[in-house]
Amino acid sequence: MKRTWIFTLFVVLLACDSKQSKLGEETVQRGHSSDEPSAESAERSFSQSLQKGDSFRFSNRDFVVEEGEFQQSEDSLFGSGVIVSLQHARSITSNLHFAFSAELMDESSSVNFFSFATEDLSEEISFRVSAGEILISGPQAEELLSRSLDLQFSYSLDIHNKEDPTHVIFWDGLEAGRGGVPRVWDSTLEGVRLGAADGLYYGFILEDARLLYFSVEPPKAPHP
Amino acid sequence: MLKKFCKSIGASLTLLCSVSVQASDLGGLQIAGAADLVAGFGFQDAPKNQRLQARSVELSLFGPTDHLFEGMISFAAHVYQGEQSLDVHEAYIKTSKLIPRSKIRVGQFFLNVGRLNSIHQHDWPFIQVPLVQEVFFDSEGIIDSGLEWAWLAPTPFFLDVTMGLTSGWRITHSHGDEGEKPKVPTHYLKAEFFQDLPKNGGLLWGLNYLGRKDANERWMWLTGAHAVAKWRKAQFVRLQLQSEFWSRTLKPRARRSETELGGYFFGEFGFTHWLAASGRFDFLSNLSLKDFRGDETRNYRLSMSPELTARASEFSLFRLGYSYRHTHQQSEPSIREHLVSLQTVFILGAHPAHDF
Repeated sequence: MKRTWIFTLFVVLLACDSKQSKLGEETVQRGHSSDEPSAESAERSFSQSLQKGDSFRFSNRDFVVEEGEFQQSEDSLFGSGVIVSLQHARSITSNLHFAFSAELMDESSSVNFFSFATEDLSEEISFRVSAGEILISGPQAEELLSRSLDLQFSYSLDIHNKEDPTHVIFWDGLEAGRGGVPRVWDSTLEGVRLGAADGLYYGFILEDARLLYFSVEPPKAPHP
Repeated sequence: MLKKFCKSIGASLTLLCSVSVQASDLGGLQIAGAADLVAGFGFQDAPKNQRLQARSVELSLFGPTDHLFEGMISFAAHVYQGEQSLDVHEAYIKTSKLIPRSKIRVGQFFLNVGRLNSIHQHDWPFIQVPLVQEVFFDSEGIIDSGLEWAWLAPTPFFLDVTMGLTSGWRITHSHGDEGEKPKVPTHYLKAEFFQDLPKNGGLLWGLNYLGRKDANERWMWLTGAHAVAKWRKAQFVRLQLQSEFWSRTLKPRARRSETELGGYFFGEFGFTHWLAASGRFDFLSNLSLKDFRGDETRNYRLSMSPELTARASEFSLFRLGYSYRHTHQQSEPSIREHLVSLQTVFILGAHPAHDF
């Protein structure tokens, strides 16, 4: 009888503790939701659909949708189509460094970054990433490289369009030029003549992919 | 009789030996070396890791080849992506004895257009490359191979006209690539005038044109003017003023043309024969910059560079300079670069005479 009471008391105490924990969590959540929105609610709080002609801001840069449809959230852009940055190169003959992170949805997805394109988005240098391969193209040639099957990736590129032919260097990751990160590919060292691009504009062609980050800076491998 | 014979033999032998020494005296070959060492300390947006290094080291060989021609060969070493790279800069043969009032050269050389492009960088009167030179002339200058003809006009005033036709396979710096045959090779024209100025001064000024159509059918036209004025006091330059203005138009096959305008003003005052202070103002702007929607994008690049130069002679100098460069493009954050530079230049051996 005595053991039964002790056991019952133990179970009751255990139950009370569990309920208290749940109450605490609910309090935290409610407190959290009232002071700071949770990640999920923040995402829900900022989400917009974008169609052709819409302007939007992503990674502190202004873009316009040239084709397709996208869904923009707090920190990503998902969809299929073409977006073009409203900021651009200073001159046809200039050099820039680009870095971006993206995520493919499946093996048929792709992310194509183009740079120094003309008004009709041609004569450009492009960098197309899909599962298992990277295709680097220019007005005169293209080069196919293999990569891992990772669906999420980050790359950094130096595009030196001041040189003829255009000199392209890319690094794996976003930390190019810092701490001696080795370059993955260099068009000059590989002897690949991509040609020279004729425009100023850069952007992305996404096919069922999510863009996570994008930046533009002065070149990381400047020439003397 | 025998004594006379022996004396004449001895004299002949002596003469033969002296002739042999002169024949092996390099035939008038002159050798010169020049080194341009620069260190930079950048602040704010300027590159910060510019240690003291040899920006360029040059070795030149020049002299007469025969009674009609002279030759010049120069090699230069530059730092390229952290490593020293040795190139042939100039290799040409020239003459002023074939056609009256004409200087002709054939080979590889810095194109004689504008002011700075025809002068080796270690002979420039400042440390940092002017914006217009950096963007239009690939910093150090355009080197190409071909034919150049300079003709001194028989006019009562000084007029020197230079015409050149070069291969145009390369117009910009690129390593490991020989370039591509253009649709229209590089061709250029310079008309240069000179007149005396009061108080022991002189003014050299000129008009310039350069054109080329590359293998991708992109036209490039460069038009510009330059002027250099100097006043001398005793053995040194008391005051020098120098300026260049250039307009560059690029017309690709697939898009509208792009026009950029730029230039610099430079002035140097010599306190004594060994100490001088100078300043340069640069500007550059793309006049046809538009965003993807066709809206004009305001942009400009400005630079101000005061410097102090100490010269032991015309063969060695030390310079201390500060450069402020401001780059502005609408909708982009402005870039502000502050750079303190130290330079030393020295020349060894014989050196070709400097132009005005």
